[in-house]
Amino acid sequence: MDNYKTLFKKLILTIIIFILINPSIIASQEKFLLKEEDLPGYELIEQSKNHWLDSQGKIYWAISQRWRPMGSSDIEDIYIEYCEFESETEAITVTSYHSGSFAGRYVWGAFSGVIVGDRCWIGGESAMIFVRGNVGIHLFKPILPTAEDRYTLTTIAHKILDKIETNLSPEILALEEAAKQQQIPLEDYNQMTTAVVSSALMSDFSALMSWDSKWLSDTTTLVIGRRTEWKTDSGVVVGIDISQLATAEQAKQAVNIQSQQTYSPIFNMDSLTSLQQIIADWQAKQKFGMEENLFSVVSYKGNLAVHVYQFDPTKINTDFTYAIIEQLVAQIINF
Amino acid sequence: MKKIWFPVLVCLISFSSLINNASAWDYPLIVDLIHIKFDYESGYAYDALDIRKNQSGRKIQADFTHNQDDVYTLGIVAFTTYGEGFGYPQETPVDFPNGGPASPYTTFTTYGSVPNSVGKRSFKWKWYITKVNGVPFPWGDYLWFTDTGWHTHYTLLAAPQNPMSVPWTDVLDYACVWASGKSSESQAVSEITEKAYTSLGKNYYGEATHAQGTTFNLTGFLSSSWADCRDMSATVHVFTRAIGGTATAVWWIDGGMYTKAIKIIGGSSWQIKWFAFHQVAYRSGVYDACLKLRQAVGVNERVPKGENMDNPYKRDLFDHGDWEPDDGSFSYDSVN
Repeated sequence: MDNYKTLFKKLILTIIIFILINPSIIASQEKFLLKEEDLPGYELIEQSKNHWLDSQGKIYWAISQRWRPMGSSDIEDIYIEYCEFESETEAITVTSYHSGSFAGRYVWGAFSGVIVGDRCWIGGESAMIFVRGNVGIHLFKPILPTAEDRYTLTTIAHKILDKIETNLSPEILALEEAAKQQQIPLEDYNQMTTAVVSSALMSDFSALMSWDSKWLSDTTTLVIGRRTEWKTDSGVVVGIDISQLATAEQAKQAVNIQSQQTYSPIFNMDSLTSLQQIIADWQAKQKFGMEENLFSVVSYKGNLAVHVYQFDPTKINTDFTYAIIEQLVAQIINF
Repeated sequence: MKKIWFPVLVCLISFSSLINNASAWDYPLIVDLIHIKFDYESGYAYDALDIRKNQSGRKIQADFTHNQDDVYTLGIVAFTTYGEGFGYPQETPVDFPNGGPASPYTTFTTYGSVPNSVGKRSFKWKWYITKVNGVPFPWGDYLWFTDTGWHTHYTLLAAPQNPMSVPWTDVLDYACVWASGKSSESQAVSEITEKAYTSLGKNYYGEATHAQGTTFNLTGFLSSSWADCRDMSATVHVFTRAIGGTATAVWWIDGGMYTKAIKIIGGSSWQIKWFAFHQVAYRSGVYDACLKLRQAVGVNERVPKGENMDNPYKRDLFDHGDWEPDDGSFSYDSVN
């Protein structure tokens, strides 16, 4: 009897907490949520509370939206989860963990090859997880996903990014501005990359997009790097992201974190056989979904941390991959 | 002579008023059943909210009104006229303070017992007056005064367990129907596993979940048509516990792993899958509502139920990669 009374009290308490928390969660994240006027042709079917976890099992409350194209059935439903964090570093850490917490595989990259937010992972045919500022987003279309859905999701992702961008808090903007003061100079970045991207190997490529990349040198320290992508008409993308840290030790640490969070193996710039081994392992694996379209590795030299990745809508040409990384490494070593 | 008649007259008048006091009502006697409470107590000791197999003598409360001025008590009984219930309210005197028109809630003990197995059942009661002010009707007749509509009740194995100690009717609507007629947890969890795979209308989607960690977003799960292995194992676990199962938990198996050809939930063909991990319901064996296995093409195709983790479950699921089951099972601790 006492047990039932205790359970009953717990239930009432849970309901009260839920009632108190639920509106406040939605209210605090309201500014980031898409509204019906943001998505013409779609109707908002459902908006509810959801939860994300970090590696310690801590719960972060998120908002889940379910959108349906007008006149469609639930087969076409698109889900968006928004999770706002206390800080940008927490957002990167937890969202990275979130991307690796599913039975299906997420890999570093974006469907279109276009940079999506500060960090982006894609999974299966039609799921993406990305971070911008202190907000993590999980966007997916679960039923009968097709390749066409990727473009729809990418379009929606950019609408969400616009919403986040215009609503970032002054504290987040100030933190990014401060971190930018330590950013690798553009001249240095260009000096290391120009020889590669202007070589015969990449004659079909043109610069597509640049972004201030976000690295972590530890769980609470944000470091801003430079990231540019080059793309061919056929949709092959090469991305080079370089960050300059205060010390070699910090660069090593940043690369370790980046490796874990972007599922990118670490190779040794002083011994490119390590890169050959990574490519061999990559080729040996049986591939599912998008994995065969993406290749991503990280490395460090001195106080420089480097992330190189390639997207190919057909299949990665690893000979090409090796050749451009080899050239890039030569530039960095000689820098 | 006058001296003799006066006391006789007084006696007759007094007797007459006594008779009037005892039966001062007239037809039509209209009685209404205002409310029935199946859940009238804060716990589950007696009332009919908590209906478990084989229980008897569950209690309800009801209140009534009548249209008379001087009816102080009515004998009331009800009988089950349609469907299968948990007995019927035994004849009970219902008091009407001041002779009417309203009674307080009166407790009725039911006669009969709860069915011996899990189920979702419905019944109707027909209500009768047996006595008015303690006086039965002539020839022992009962006066029918109302019928109640369908009452639906869920029969559970035992008291509902965490994380669904107060079960949702949405869940009981599935669990009690799927496990209908079963009288043990092992039978019930088998049925729930099979039906969750075949009848819930879910399609596998591994890039999201409703069941991260130990919290199951059941509202979201029920309203969507996709699920992953965590969702399906949580479903078997939570649904079984909602009907009183105590020993069904979930078990995490770390990967990544490539499977043999399986028929994933919602899928129409046998296919190889890659899982970063897998999660199953567990009760002295694996219950996996997320997929169908087979020993060979056309041989022993089944939804795994109560299977040994290594053989035949792993034998028929795992092809290559990593297979690292946790040391023990765990339970979901909250459902929202």
